Amino acid sequence: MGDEDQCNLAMRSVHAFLHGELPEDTADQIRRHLMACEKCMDNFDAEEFIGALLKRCYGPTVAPPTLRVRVSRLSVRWQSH
Amino acid sequence: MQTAILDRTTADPLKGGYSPVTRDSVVWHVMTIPSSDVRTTETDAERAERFERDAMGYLDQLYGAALRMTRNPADAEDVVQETYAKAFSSFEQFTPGTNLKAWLYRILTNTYINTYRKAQRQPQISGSADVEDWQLARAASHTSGGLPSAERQALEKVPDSAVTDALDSLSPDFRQAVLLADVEGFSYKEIAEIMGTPIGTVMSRLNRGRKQLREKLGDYARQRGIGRESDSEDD
Repeated sequence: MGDEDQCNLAMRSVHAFLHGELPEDTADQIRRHLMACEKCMDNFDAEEFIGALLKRCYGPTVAPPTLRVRVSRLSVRWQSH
Repeated sequence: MQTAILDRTTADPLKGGYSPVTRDSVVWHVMTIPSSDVRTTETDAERAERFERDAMGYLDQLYGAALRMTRNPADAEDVVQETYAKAFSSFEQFTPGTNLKAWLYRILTNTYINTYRKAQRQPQISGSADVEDWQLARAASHTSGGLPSAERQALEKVPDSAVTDALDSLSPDFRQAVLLADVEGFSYKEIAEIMGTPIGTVMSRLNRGRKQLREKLGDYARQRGIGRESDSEDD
């Protein structure tokens, strides 16, 4: 596979790669290319950083206690039989 | 959950098995029934207990997801309440042992779409943007080894509010795909189940959503002069 094709593969696959959705041999092929290609490495670096940004901005939420009470009433009614 | 029966005559060799169990120095031959039968044997009260035990644990995550969809806490509470009500009333149709979290998210997504999305004004849908000038410049320039790219350095300075604003401006399907993949951590297969689309559509929405997000963050950085190498001459 030529260099341009390697770059195209990497560009197309960046999210699948970062989400662990690629088969291992394809992922390894991309890893080898990343070590040789600064442009693709920068690209992956930026996308990985945005992924981390998203996780940080949307951290775990806690449901309000009133909602917890409302929802648990659904099943409690049946359990008292 | 398994039921032990000591009477061999009702055994079905295809579905269950025998295992010897020693209790009080006596060997009992115990037949186990596969747990998919729990729905046929449980009472309404037991099903309610099972629901509370298995489904309630996802309340916080579902509320978080609903908050991101509706962007207001009161609506989020209503969506979650309705989701649990629907989930409870159709809990008998859920196959025990399969992906309960994805099943609940599917109900949440459909509830949101059917009840709220139609009523809300659609957010401004972002159009496609050209590749940023500085991204092109970046690709053409040299770096010294090991330093983060200029883009990466600019992204590091973008505040959280700009990230959430950018994500909020994506079309709902793109936003949902990005949230499910990057925030909730679902696999592509699970996202396909939740959104009711083929995996290819999930990948397309995720790729396009992330592309638009990255462009918007780049717009933000450029408009505020974040990450520019020299900002004295262009002012």
